[in-house]
Amino acid sequence: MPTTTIRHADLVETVAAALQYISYYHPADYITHLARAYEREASPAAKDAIAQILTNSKMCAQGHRPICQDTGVVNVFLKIGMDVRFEGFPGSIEDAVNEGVRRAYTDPDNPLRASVLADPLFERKNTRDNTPAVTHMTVVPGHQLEVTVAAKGGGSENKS
Amino acid sequence: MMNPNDSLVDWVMKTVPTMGAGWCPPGMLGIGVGGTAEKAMMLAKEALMEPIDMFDLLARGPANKLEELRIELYEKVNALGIGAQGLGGLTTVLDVKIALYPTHAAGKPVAMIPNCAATRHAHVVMDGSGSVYLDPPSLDLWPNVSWAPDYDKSRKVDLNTLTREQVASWKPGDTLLLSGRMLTGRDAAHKRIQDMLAKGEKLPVDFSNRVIYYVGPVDPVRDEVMGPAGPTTATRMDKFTEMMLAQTGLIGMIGKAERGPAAIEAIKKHKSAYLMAVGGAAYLVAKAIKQAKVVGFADLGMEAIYEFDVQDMPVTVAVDSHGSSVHDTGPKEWQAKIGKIPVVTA
Repeated sequence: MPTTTIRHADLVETVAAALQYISYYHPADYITHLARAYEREASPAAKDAIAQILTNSKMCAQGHRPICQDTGVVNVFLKIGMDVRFEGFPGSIEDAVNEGVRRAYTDPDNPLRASVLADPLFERKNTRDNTPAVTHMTVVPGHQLEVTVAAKGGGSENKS
Repeated sequence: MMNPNDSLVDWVMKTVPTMGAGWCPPGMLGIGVGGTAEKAMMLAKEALMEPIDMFDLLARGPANKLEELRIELYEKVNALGIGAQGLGGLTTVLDVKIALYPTHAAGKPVAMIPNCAATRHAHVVMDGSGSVYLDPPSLDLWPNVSWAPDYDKSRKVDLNTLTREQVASWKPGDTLLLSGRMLTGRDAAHKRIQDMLAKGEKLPVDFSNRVIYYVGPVDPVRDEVMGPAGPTTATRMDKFTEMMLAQTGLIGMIGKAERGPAAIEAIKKHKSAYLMAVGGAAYLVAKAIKQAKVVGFADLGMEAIYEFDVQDMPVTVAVDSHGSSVHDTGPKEWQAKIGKIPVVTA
């Protein structure tokens, strides 16, 4: 099997594009399930809240603006095929992922909120570009690079 | 870390009600069981990346013990009646995902991570041929649901002439459409206000007879007044509530999800009220903002104090001046109702 070459610019761009995409498009499975929940909801207050979430979601898909003002901390899972080599990386793979985060969160067409602080305990100063991401890597058989990105809001992560 | 013979279901049912609504239901639960302490956390997070397929699973029926467990937890958690935004209702979770890993005979590591209504993730495969872009979904995917202010059902409130008496007259569950000027602030602004008051310094804005909105908005682009600006979890401001109500002249608050006992006590004492906006409807809320400017603590970025001029911003009275909370009464009411609804599994 031939070795696959992943170029630095392509990984950065792929991560950035996926982060922009998920900022305004809900996953299809979430929308179909929430639509079903809306239909069967009997509580008027809850039904009104779901209507707002669905309406907001469609407005974001049309307007290409974030679903939630908390555009999250970026979680990245990389499954790296053992026959993949990386080319043109000035630093680590994590650095490239962070470059993608920086590009996505400072995109002039759809800037996202920078929520990440450089230091959790003392100064708690915002890094201004939402870096760094939390990146997890595993090495698996194969010649592909699987990239899963998630933008996890603080509200839900805090209840873990 | 659970003991080998402890019940996972019991633990989940004990834990979910303690999570309140700050995690923005309806969403999903990712549960990791096994491995080591840190492995269980990883499993829970990775489980949230899996597709939501509960309705398919309910339709075809469980094929193994793990799927049986997912259905059991899905039904039992929803039977708690927490509902969307904790208002009480039928759907708290859309799916429950569980990931397993071998573990030591002496233990059963368990981790649970919820995901909010703003569930956001994507999966792409790079094969060396260049950057990968996802295709946009068809807009037909969204159901024909279009929320708009309901002037018959909701009361219009003018924030510019709001009085303590009006605030005290609101009832839990009332839906209000707010118009006029409000101030914003969240964690860092509250901390700084506390420090300034302690030193006897003058605040940059006067909170007398004002309402504060707990929000950290996205910056605006193009012709936007404000970027998406949904509410943040209000309980984080609980410890500042007595101070704000007693010392700054503030008469009301807007945020997301429930308030804790200390905040409710302060609201009762000062005959104030707490209003909730829908978390996960940030762009919709932003459309109600007609003017916005920073009026204090500009160095705090998204945590600065803004003044928003809004029109028909939808909120619900979540804690009234008597301290009655819809996040307490709503889930209780729906938990009781659900107990009487026959379980439909298809």
